[in-house]
Amino acid sequence: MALDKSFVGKAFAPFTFEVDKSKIREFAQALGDENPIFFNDAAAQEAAGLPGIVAPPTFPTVFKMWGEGGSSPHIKAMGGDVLRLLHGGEAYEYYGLIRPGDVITGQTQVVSIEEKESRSGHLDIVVFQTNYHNQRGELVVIARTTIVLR
Amino acid sequence: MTIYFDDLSMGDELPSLTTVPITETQLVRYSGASGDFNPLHTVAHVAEAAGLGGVIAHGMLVMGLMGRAITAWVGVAPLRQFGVRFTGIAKPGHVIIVTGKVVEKLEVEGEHRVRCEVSAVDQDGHQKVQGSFVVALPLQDE
Repeated sequence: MALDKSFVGKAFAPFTFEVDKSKIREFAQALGDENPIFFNDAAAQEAAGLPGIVAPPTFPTVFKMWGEGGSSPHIKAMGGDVLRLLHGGEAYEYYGLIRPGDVITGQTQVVSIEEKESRSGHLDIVVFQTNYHNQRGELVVIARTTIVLR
Repeated sequence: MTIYFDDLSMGDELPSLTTVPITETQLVRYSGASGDFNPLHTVAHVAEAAGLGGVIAHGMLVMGLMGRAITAWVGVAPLRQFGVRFTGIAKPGHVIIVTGKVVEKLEVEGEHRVRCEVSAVDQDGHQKVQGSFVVALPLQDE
């Protein structure tokens, strides 16, 4: 069943995530990352230019998964079969640090819905863009998520 | 130790990162941390029924391991872009080796930036994730 292409350009409801130290530490530990800037304010301050504990580079995935359940709800809304869903790629643009105490608001928009024929058959490729702002209204991260339905 | 823009030339390599083997428990921890509870990562019979042979790692977990290498090299504050394609499946037992090299030096919006290619492979050299990142670095005399 083809995806509903009228979703291109559509924005989904905004969602929020409150960042705290315990989540940053939990995430860094899950990656086996012992870098003290993710665990200890004083250690982070001694590292150049950091006000304290900061979020690791791929932390925005926490906002997307905990905040809006990832891409699956949007794919379902478009008529896609989430059992065929693969994460094709992810790209971040960084505009500001993410810190404990930040309240991050995200909003996802559908950038494109395309079809491709490959050796493994028909593919649907959906690109989402999510813009994340903090509680001061500052843009902190733009995320582009590529979902492939195989 | 600060890395300066002046220190880097085309083709220079990042310090490579080699992880300990991925474990099933790590996939549980990463699922909880990231909020991705897709059972392919944590429920063996679901992953087997999907023909995967067993639970598989989240692509984003491997991207996170690449992030470890970037942060270890230059920290978090210099990062401007980081993007990847997921090209292979990583599983428990895999060791992930992250390598990267400088491919471009550029000046953007008053910052001196370096673009690097970055790749994650397993202990047999099979690629899992491929991408690039851009960092803004200080000049030696700043």
